[in-house]
Amino acid sequence: MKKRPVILDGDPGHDDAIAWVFAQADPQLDIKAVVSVAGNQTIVKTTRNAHRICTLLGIEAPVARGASRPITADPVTAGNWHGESGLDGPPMPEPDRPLCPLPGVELMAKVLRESPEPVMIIATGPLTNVATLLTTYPSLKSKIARISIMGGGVTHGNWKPAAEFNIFEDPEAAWIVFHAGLPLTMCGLDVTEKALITPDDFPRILSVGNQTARIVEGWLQFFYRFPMQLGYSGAPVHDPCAVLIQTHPEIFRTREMYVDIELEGEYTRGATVADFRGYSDMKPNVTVVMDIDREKYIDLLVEALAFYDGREVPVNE
Amino acid sequence: MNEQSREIPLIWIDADTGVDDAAALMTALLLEKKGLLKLMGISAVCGNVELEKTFENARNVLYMAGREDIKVWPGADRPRLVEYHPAYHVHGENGLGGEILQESPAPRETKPAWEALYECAKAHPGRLELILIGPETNASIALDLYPDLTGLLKRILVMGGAEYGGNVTSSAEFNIWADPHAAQTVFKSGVPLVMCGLDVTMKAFLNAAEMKEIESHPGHGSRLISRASTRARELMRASSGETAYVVHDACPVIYAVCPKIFTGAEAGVFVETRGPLTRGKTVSDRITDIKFGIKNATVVLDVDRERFAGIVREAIMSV
Repeated sequence: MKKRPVILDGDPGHDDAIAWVFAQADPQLDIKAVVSVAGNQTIVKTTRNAHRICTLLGIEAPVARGASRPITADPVTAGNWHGESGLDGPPMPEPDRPLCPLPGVELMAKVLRESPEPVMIIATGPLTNVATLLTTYPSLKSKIARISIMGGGVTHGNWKPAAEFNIFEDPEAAWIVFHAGLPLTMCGLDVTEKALITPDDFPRILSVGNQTARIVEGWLQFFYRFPMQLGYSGAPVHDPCAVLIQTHPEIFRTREMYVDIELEGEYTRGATVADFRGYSDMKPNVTVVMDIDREKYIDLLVEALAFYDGREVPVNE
Repeated sequence: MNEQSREIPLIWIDADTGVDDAAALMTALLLEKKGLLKLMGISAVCGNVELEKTFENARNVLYMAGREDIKVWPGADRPRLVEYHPAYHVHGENGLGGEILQESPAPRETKPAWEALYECAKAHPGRLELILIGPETNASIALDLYPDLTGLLKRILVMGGAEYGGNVTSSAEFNIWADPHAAQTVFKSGVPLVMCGLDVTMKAFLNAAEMKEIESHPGHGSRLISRASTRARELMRASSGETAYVVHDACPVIYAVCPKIFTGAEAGVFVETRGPLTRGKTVSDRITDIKFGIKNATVVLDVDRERFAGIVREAIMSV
């Protein structure tokens, strides 16, 4: 099978980490670079987490540090969801190699330039790196096959009543990405809050038995704490949707829509405003993912975890 | 409608009459005839069409129903800050799809709507329920001029807004979009609110069979609604393929006396007044992780359509 080159761009984060578990295990994808971004936690923490996740999973692509703050917005973090480290929970391995010395955006540009075919960017954090890449190297747009994001929500928000965290964190970056004219897939809260992994699923995940499965189960135990207080019946594991919609579209329902980003609202800054009824003359610019078959999602996770059988790296207790 | 035992609700309707406003007024008159509410006054506001027209339309609908004894007060002739845009494409240039009603012989009231409303509220402290079925300009002026009005009103029931979607833009419903600053004043007022937005009103329609029955009925009300609603029905057919007439404005009127045929939930709801893409959006925190920290509204989400339609059909056919 010919593999599709991808760049992983995220702010790990438990759900970014699980998204990358799926990406590394999938025979369709060839990870060319991993880039961190400030979001769920500060850039120092998300970079360290990205680095350690790659070591755990055996992702050999270079890992580079991305944007340390949004383009113009004030940075916020989501310690309530992800803990002090941004990836609280089970012990993790120390990085097994140095970081790539390039800034994240430069690494992304290098991968695009050197790739004989267009590369897909899977962005599971604020869109700061992607926006900076697009505005700094517009000539490389033709080397981007598609941008697949977790962010936004057509019907509602989470971080604000009308805005989802990743978009609210850097609305200007999102605006640049949504107006770039590139193929764009948006996994917003409409689908990702249905991507629930419940405590009933945890034993099945653990029973895969390898180190990665044990750590993923530990991440889920931690990641479920905050949403449980909010009344969720499981952990909404958002970010893997942005990977799986590209590799397993059959478990999702999508709709083409024109989606714009509100930058100035008192209550709506960072809202993904979707023209679901065709009020504007604008052509659809986004494939909006609306629904997921949750049971198949869990099946795919268990399947992906089996990929890591036999892999065991020393962790820092 | 089996609630006679409680104190009869005193109702004030503020309307931009309008075809579905006319149906809502007829509904209020039917409910009054059944002893379920008392209609204390009606105020006119610019919205679907200009104030001069909404004022005359309300007066003439009452006259058509033989109720020209109910006073209609003239209100605001423009939104508080934003530019005025009528909705001729739904209601026609005269607001009633071009239908000409007989002119009411009742004397024309000249006292401003907000003053008349305040006097009524003051005469019945804690009992008056204000139903807003147009832009919320008059209500916001009343709340601004008379700070004690907040404590005098029992509650405000609104046709306007939507938790999800819109009908003017993808984010905003007409009544809120037409005067978002006024709506925000109302939503921030502290008066208990009931919001009948598009979430419920799009489910509050007369179906093809019911409209057919009204079309073949000889009464004045039936003739007005069947003829004046053709634009709205065509728009509905074009956008959704449904053959139905949505009677948005009757929702808060019926909710006032028959809340049991509706379902809703408490939420924090405020109005976006600044966002260029989302101006007039009613931002609800009902299903989001982060809350506003105050629940100022009952957001109505669903209705027993059959029972709703039964009341509205009877109301139209009894005029």
